[in-house]
Amino acid sequence: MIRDDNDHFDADIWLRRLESGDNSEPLLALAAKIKDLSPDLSGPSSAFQSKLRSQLVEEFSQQSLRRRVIPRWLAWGIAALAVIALIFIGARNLPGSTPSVSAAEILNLASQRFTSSAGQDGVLYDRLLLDWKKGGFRQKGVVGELWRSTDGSQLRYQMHAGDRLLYFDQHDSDYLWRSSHIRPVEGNQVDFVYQARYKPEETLLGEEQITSQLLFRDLANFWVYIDRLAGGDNADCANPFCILSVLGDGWECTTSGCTLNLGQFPIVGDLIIEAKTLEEDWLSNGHQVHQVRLKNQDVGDGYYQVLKFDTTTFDLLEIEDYSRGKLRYRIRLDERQIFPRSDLPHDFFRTIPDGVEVRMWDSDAPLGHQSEDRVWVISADPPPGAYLTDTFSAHVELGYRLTSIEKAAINIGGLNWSGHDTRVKLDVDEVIVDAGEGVIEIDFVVDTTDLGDGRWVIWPAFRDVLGINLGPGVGWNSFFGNPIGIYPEWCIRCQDPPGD
Amino acid sequence: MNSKTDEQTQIEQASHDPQAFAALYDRYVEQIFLYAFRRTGDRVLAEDVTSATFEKALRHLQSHGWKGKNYKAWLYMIASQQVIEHHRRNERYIALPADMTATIDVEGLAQDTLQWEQILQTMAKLSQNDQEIITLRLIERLSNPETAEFLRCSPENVSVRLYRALGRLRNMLGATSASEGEKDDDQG
Repeated sequence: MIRDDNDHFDADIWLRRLESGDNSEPLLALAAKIKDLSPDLSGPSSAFQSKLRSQLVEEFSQQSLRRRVIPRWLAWGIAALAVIALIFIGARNLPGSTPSVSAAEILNLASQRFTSSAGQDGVLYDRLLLDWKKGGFRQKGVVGELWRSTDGSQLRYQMHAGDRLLYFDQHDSDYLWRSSHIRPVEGNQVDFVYQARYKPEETLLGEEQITSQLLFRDLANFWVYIDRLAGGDNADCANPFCILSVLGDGWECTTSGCTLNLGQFPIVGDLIIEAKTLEEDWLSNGHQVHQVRLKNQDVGDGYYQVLKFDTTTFDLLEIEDYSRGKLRYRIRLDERQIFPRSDLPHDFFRTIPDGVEVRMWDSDAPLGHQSEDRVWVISADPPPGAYLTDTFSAHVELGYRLTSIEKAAINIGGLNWSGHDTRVKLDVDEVIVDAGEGVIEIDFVVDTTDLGDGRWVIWPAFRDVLGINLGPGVGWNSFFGNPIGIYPEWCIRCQDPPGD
Repeated sequence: MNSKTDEQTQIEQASHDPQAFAALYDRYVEQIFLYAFRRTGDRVLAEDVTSATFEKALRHLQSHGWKGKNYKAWLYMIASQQVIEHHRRNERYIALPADMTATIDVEGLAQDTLQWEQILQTMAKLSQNDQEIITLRLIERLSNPETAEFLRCSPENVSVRLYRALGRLRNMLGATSASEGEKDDDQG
């Protein structure tokens, strides 16, 4: 039973009254009237019904011939990597790009390069340069480092900006150590990591993570996901290019580019990715690259990723992610090495950086990336896009799902100034919720006097008893598992209202 | 022990048997069309949405198999996605077909008599979520569990959300009535 103390509302009783046709109070009466007066409309024409029926049956037969038996998570991973493959192949073969080497040759060369000199006891090392702007916060000059044993049993991935460790993720075959945040949070130093039993790789590679990383603009950890997928023992493949070859004929290409239908997902429906070769370019480090733009066919033109491939070495060198036409993430491969395992200390993959505390994760619940904790905005008053000045009262309705711990607090940490490195704290009472799912409402007051002109977004989140942010923000949550999330961005004396 | 319902069996068969899929289609095509029609206000668009919905349902059944979810709610969810996409492209949310006008008498509101069109126009000012839950629950007559499946929440939350959405609709209707009353006063 849900009871709303503010409204003295009992959901069970009210539902029973609604179902019984009771109209003794205004809202029940309104519901009854809507039911009664919604007009009966005439259905579809018989010609339409019959034609569609025939089409579907025919399509059924054709699709049955094309069906494949691939685990869904693997298919997703393959698809994600296939995007890269297509670019790789397409960049060389589509009109307007440098032609010549065949796809098979490219794959063969790349595969040889990837595995050469590593053997069964090697380590791959990637040094990445990252910067991003998210929720109004800009982070520049981050270095990401990835070490992975070529058999996939050991991995360390860390990000740091100067002396500050922003993210840490490491495992061997027994244990996992991971930052409390699933990705870097602003410029916050990682003070501690959780230690948990390491779970098999396949549980770490949820299809949603792969897809989200690639398609939904949360690229801070994209590299490590791709590498994990490639480094696992999936489909007996030892590297990405092997996995790519499994895909076969999923892409449909014309002279203007290629598309890949990744199937249907909640809220977004069918995901169809478009790949288009752009002009060649040069990176500042002298690499000549092919640029390829990826875009979900169903989203606006301002939302896309650009992947850049080295025309000589066949490496994926850079990923850029754009939102509303503005750059949000950039990941650049700065250095790649493959060396023998013996070059690293024997306990390298069990070493925690100096000054970082280790805490035990005693729960069986998934940690970090696998957490199913979600909080999202269902509705906001004033509504998103509202033009606001002076002081105003706000009311938000938040949905939540908490699974990783028994109790947590939901709060609205503050307002982020979109496009600026500014976050303003709000004085909002936290709401403690138990594990499960539900809806809460929060009221607060915003004084805009000291806020800059522009777009500001609220950011609800779970926090544990230590005040640690448990889960990702609304930008992520609104896409997966929560089909009703909205992006609660207000326009405070702004010149370009959201939604334009 | 739970036994499978006839529909669950039919859905499982539909992943590999075109005739079973066709039977499912026959069962739901009219409901989905009417839902799309109410949301778009255009019969041609509603046909497009209906086609896309069943094509996606077919592809999904074949490629991923059935996972025991509520099929009807799932079809509505797909149809809703199609409608939202249409509105996104056309920058509007709800339209009013000409044959959706009737008279409504709402107790407790400032005015006794309102047009069905006015209800719909006021609904269009509600949030998308509020419109959705009122439409699904009261107009499409989905059950609480079916609506819960659609919205990915618990059946209890459906009641809470519906209650709140109706409250907001009632307030807006009251405000609309009041403001029209003021207009009348001005004119008078």
